[in-house]
Amino acid sequence: MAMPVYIAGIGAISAGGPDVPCGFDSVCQGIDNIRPFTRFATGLNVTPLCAVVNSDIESIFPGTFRSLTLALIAAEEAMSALTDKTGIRLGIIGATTVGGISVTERIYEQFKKDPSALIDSKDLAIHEPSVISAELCRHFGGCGFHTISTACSTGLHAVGIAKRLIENGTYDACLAVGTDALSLLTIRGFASLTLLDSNGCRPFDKRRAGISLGEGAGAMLLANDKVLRQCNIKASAKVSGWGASSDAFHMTAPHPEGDGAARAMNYAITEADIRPQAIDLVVTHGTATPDNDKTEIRALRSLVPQLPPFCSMKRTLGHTLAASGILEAVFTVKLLEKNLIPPTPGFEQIDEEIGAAPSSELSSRPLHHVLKNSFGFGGNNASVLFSKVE
Amino acid sequence: MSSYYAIIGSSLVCPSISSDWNACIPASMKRRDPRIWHIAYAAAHKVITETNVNPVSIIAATALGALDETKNFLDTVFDTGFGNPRHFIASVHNSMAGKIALELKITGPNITVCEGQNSLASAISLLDSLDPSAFPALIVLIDEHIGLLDNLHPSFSPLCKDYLNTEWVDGAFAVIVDSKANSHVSHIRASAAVPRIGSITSAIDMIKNTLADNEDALPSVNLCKSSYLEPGIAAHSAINDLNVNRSLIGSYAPASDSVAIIDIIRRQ
Repeated sequence: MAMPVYIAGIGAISAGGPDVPCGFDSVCQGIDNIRPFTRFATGLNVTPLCAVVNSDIESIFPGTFRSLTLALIAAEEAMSALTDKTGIRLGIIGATTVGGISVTERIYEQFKKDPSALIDSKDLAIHEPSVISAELCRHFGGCGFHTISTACSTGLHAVGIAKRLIENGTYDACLAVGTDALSLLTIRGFASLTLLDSNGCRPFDKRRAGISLGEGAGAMLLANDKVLRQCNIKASAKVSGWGASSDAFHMTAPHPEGDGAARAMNYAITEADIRPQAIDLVVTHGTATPDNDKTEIRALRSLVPQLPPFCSMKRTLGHTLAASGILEAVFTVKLLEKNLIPPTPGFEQIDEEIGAAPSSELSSRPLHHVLKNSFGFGGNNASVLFSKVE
Repeated sequence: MSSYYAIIGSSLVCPSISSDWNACIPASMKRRDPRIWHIAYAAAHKVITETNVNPVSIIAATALGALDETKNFLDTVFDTGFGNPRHFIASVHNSMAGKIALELKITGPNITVCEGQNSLASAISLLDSLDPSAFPALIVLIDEHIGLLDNLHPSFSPLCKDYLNTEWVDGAFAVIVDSKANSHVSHIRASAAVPRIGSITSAIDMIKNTLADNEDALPSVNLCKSSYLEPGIAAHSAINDLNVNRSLIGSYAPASDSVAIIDIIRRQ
């Protein structure tokens, strides 16, 4: 049996609010945070609907760029739990899909207009996603860092990787941070795939027609027993299982039966050494694309024919890409702690092809094990099981 | 440093060196897919064919990802107003790993690491995060030299020019490894990326400091900092040089101002 890995601290910034309490309140109330996006011109004929971080964050960490600023804000909240770093080996797992692409876009547009303009080396360096993790590592005094990028499953994989690196003794504590800011590339990219719902995302609804992009960051400080004792942390939850798989089916479409997704969920459940029926809630990837929602429930049903309650947070937080898995996992841990099941804003009509409805209102029941899913381009699947520390 | 992993085999594909590097690419891929996918696939296909081992999982390592596809997508947006979805799909950093998994039916964990010149070391060190059932594992280091960087080069400020010169070789390095204890001759391990701390000024001193932290002070380190693929070229050479018992390959990533180390040891 592997050593338990606890959640020692959490942090979040999203359209739901600038910290965990505000964001959690938004999730529990099922607030619809999807708005017309106006921060920069997208060139689209129809203004896209997105979930945007509204707080004025630009001045908090001068000299950084938006996705790094988001990461630092969420990470500082999570790291406030680590009150005594003496002798603690801290690792950093950064998760991002596009990193500083918004800076690259600006440089490239400028270059196309004036090829003779000098390019600042700092701006060019920002294109590499590792800049975010390195800065987090320096900021918090980590002894090593990793930067992963597996599309929309990235943030949840970061949690799983952090878990394993604590279990095998590489680190005593590991800070996993997922971050993505809205950029021209992502907005125009998903628009080119006709995956943006002009009505805002409607997870699991019969009329669902695509996603609503969002931005934000989620952070989790995972730790072993020693760290909890040293910092006097009373953890309410632990990471009990991580599953990772690849569909090997299609670059963008999920396997029609949810084969890879089911394997990821099954790995997480098996590692946690529980029966699938013991899952009390599933916080789905629930992006609201026609295929993804359908296959996710098919995959879940193949493991648990009597579906447990499930929900999607995408109408409240938007699809925050690499941040989504860990940002929603932060709120998953709060749900577990508070024994709450949140509503699924955007859902109204049941889809016969899915044959099940997500939770529609805030309710309370004892929760012991909650499963979080994230899936991404390239057939990339991640599932993490969170369990209450009884 | 990570645990040691047994090396089953490795391959290196450099389009500028070998003219027939793409002979194994299926016709459908040649027709539709970007060059960087071809290079990544060719290296993976080569090592799988030569070792006759089917990996369960894949960890891809890349600094810039499919940068040419990002450029192509932005070109379509800036120049025509319509983004081409094929370029967008390919521009995602994990697209190479996804394509390899799809073509070679690798259904286990699929992780992509983006760590500049330290990408290969970081990928090897993350083998420690895989379950024993995820082995044998395939690691693929892949980066592409695109024309845009050459076009941009005259505009780079001096520091930029120092680390992104116009002569670097692109390609892919692939290695299949098995979990710890077995009879394979060569073993590999690596450190995570470690940022510059305090007053240490040179990359080599940063590496020595990291080695000291690992209680593993060894004299000679091959420092790679001129291209993203260089650690892969050095690793391939070390794996296949029967006269060398131990190789330490250091890498320095200027963008993140960090170092990492790969350690390859031959066990007779």
